[in-house]
Amino acid sequence: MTPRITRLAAAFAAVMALAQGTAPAQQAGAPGAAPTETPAAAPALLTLDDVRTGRLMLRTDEPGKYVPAPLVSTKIDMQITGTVARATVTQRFTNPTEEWVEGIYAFPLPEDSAVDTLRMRIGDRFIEGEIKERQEAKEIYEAAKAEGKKAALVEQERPNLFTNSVANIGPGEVIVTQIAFQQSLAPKDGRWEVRMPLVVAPRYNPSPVVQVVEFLQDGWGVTDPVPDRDRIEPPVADPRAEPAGQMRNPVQIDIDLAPGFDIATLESPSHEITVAEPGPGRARIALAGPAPADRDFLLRWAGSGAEPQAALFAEEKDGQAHMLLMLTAPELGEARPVRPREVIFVQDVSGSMSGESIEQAREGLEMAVKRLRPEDAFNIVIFNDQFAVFHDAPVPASPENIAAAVTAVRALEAEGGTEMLPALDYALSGAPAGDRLRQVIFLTDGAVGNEAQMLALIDEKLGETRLFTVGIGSAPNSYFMSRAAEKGRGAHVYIGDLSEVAERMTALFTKIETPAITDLELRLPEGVTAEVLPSPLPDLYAGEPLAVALRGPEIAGEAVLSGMRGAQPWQVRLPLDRAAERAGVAKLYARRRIASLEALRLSPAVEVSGMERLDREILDTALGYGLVSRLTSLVAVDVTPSRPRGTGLASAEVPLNLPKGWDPEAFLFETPEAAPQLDRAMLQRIAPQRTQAEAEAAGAPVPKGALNWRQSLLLGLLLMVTGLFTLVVTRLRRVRRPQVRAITVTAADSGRA
Amino acid sequence: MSRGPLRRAGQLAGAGLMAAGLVLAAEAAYLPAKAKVGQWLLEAAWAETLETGRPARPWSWADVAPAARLSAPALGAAAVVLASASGEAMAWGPGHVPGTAPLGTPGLAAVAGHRDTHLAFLAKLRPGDLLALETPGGGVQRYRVTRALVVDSREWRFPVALEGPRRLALATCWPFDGDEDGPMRFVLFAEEIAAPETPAA
Repeated sequence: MTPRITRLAAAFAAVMALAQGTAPAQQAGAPGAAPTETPAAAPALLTLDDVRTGRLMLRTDEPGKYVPAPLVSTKIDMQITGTVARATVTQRFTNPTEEWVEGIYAFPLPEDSAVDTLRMRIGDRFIEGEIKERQEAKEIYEAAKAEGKKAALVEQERPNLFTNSVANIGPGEVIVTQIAFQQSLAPKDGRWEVRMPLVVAPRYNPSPVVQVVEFLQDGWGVTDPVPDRDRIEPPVADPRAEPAGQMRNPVQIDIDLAPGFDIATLESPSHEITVAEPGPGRARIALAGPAPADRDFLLRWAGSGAEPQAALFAEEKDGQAHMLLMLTAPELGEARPVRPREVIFVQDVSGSMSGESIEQAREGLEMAVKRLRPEDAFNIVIFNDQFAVFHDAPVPASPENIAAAVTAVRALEAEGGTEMLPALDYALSGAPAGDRLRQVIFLTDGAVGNEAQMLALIDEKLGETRLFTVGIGSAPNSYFMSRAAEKGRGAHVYIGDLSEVAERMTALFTKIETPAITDLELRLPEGVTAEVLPSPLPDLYAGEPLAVALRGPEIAGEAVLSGMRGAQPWQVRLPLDRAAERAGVAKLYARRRIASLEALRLSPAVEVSGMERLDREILDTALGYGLVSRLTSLVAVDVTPSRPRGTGLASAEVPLNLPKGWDPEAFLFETPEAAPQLDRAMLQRIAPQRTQAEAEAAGAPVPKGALNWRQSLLLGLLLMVTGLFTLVVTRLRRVRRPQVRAITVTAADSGRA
Repeated sequence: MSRGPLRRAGQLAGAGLMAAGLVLAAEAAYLPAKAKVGQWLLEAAWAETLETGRPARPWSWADVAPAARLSAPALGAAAVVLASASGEAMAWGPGHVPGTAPLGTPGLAAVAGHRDTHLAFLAKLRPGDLLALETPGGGVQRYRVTRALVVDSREWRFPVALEGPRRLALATCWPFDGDEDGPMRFVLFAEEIAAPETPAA
C-alpha cells in the first residue's frame, strides 16, 4: 500500500526464498530435530533454557542436557501484609533411579523477589543453606559432592530464574526443597496484584528458523507457506508431554492476605480460587483444587476506594534504619490532554506471540490507533526476526491513515524468531516533528534472552522519547517488560486475557495522555543523611505507584516529596516518624539496591574498573543482607557423608531434630496423586554419580562424536544404482521374463537390507 | 502372458528405488556438507572474533559461537571450536566440553567432535605431533600430543583439572571407521610446549 512496504515486501520475499532453500539445515540445526541423529523413540532431554516450570533436572551423559525428575507436588504459601509479601515454595521430588544422582532444580520467581532461604529434606536429612560468594559456594558444593556428602546450592541464573543443584541423592530418595523469598507490592490503577510465575516462557534463542513473509495488498500481513512449521519452530520440549502423560505438575497455593484495608474485590483471573474471610480486612485464598503449573498465578484485590494512598514501613538492621515508602500518584482534577504526540507502535509478531497473544495484541493495537487524535502522528513497526514499517516516516493520524492502519493490524499473524533489537533501535531513533511528544509503545511477550543488550540500547537512545511496554500473554517476561519501561521513563501494563484488553489499554491511555509528575525529588529533613532508591526518582504516571527505599543511620522528621505536574508544582509531606515496623523491609531495600547497581552496570558509560567497583558493592550488599544474587549463592552441606540406604542410624529421630522455625507440616503435605514414574529410556540417560569418587570419574562426560553419515550415504547410492540398473534392464526390448524376475527379487532384497 | 505388466512393475520398482536411494543419500550427504559449510562460516566468524575481541555469530540466527581455532599444522587440518558441545552445536563444529577448563587456560580443556567430519584428522596424529590452539585472548598456543586412550563413555569422565600445565583432551567416537553409535570413545591428550620453539623476536 505504500512504496516502503512494497519495497520491504520484495526484499523480504527474496531473503525468504533464499532461506527456504536451506530449509533442511534449519531442521537439523534446531536442537533435537536432526532427523538422522534423533530417532523418534529417543527420550527428549531438556536444557536449562527449556525449563518452564520449577522442576528437578537430573544430569545425563550428554553435557548440558537433563532428564526432568518426576515432580510429585508443589505447594506455595504466601503471607501478604500491606505492601510486603513473603512466600515459601515447597516442592517434593523423588529420585526414580537405582543410582546416586545429582539433580538441578530450576524454578522461576517474581523478578523483584529477594531469595534468602533454602531448606531441604533429602531422604532422612534436613539441611539449611548459608549465603556465600558465588565462586566460594560453588567450591564448597563441589568439595562436598566429591566427598559423597549431600549438598545443595541455590544460584541465580537470571533475576527471575534460579537453580538449585542437589548432590548425592540416594536411590529412591524423596527430596523436599523449600525456598523462601519476599517481594514488595504496590497498587496500580487502583488495584493490587501479586503474580506468582509457575511457568517460564520459552525464550527465543536465535536458532535457525525459516519463514516466508508475504505482504498483502491492503496493508501488511504475514502468511506462512512453510507446511512443517511446528518442526522448525525453536524447539521447546513440553515437559508434560514427555514421557507421555507422566509429567503433571500439580500446584497448591495458600495465601493469607491482610492488605491493611477492607477488601472490596478479590479475584484470580488465572485460576479458580476459594476464599475464606476470617475477619474484616483479611482473607485466606486457596486454589479450588490442585492445578497444573502451566500458567502464572495471578491474584488481584482492591479496596472500596477509601484505602490509603501511601504506606511507610521500617525495619532496623545492624544499626541502620531501613524504610520502604509506597505512594500512588494522586488523581488531580480532570486529565488534560498533553501536547500533540508522535506515537511509534512496535508490535512483536514472532512465533511466541501466536495464538491468543496475537489476538490480544491486534485488538490492543487497533484500540490504540483509533484513540489517536487528528493532530497526532504515528507509525507502526512490526518485527519477528525481520522488521517492517508501516510508513517511511510517521504520518498524521487522519481518518484515512487510521483506517488503513486498522486494516493492516487486523491482518497481523505471528511467526518466526524474535530479533527485537533492530526494531527497537529504529523506533527510538528519529526526532519528532515540531513540538510533538514522542512515545514508543512496545507490545510484546518479551520472550527473549538478550535483555541486557536491549536495556543498554534503551539507555543509549532514549533521549526525549518515552517508552511504554504492554506485556501480552499468559506468561510475559515481566523482568524485561518492567525494566524496559523503567529505563524508558514510561510505564508498563499487562494484558493477560482477551477480556482484559479494553480495560488494560484504557489504563495505558490514561497514563500516556495525562501529564506525568516529573522532576520528582525527595527532600530529607535537615540533618538526616540516607540513601534513596531508585536514584533518580522516575516520572510518575497516573495510577502508577512510586516505591522508594531508604537507608541511613537514623531517619526521622518530615520529608518532602516534590515534583512538577505539567507546569504545576506538586508536593507531598511525609512524616517519617510514623513508619510501622515490618520484618523484611531491610531485605527489600537490599534487593532494590542490587537491582539498581545491576542496572548501572549495564549502562554503556561504565568502564571495566567501574564494573568491578559495582560488583564489589553488589557482593557486599548481597552478603550483608543474606540474599541470592548474580554474585552470591546459598549453599548447604550435610555434615556426615551419605551412606547406603538402610544402614542409617537415626532416621526415626529426625522429626524431633527439626530445626527451629521450620514448619513440619510444610514438609509432610499430602500429595494429590501418586508419584509418576519415568520410563526406561529416560532412566538410562541419567548419569550416575560416583559417591566414592575416583579422580577420573568425577569429571565431565565424553559426548558422542560421530554423525554416521557414511553408511547411509553408501546405502543410498547402492539403492540408486540398483534402481537405475532395474530401469535400464526393463527398458531393453528383448528382455526375458526370468531375468526380470531375478532382478526384481534382488531389488526387493536390497530394499530390505 | 505379455511382458508389459512385468516391465512396468520393473520400471516402477526401479524408479522407487532411485527415489528412495536419492533421499537417503541426500540426507546422509547433507550432514558432512553442513559440517563443511558450518566451518566455512565459522572461519569467517572466527576472523571477526579475533578482530573485535567479541564472539561473533557465524550467521545471523546462529546459536553457536566460535571459542577457539584448533589446527594440526603438519596435516594441514584445522577446525573452529565452538563454545558448546551439545549435539546441535557439534553438527557445525567440534565443541568445548562444559565442566572442563576453558580453552587456553591452565588445566585440562576438553574438545569433542565427530570422527567422520571435523575431527577425522585425530586418527592421523601420533605422540609427538604438534597442535596449535588459537584463542581470542591468548594468542596461539602450541601443544604436543602425549598419548591417546580408548575409553568407555559409560564409565570414563574427563578428569577435572583447573590448574597446572595447559592440557588438551580431544575426543571422538571410536573406532574411527565405525558406523554405529557405541559407548567407546577415542581421547587424545596433548600438553602445551612450555618454552616456544622459535625464540621470541
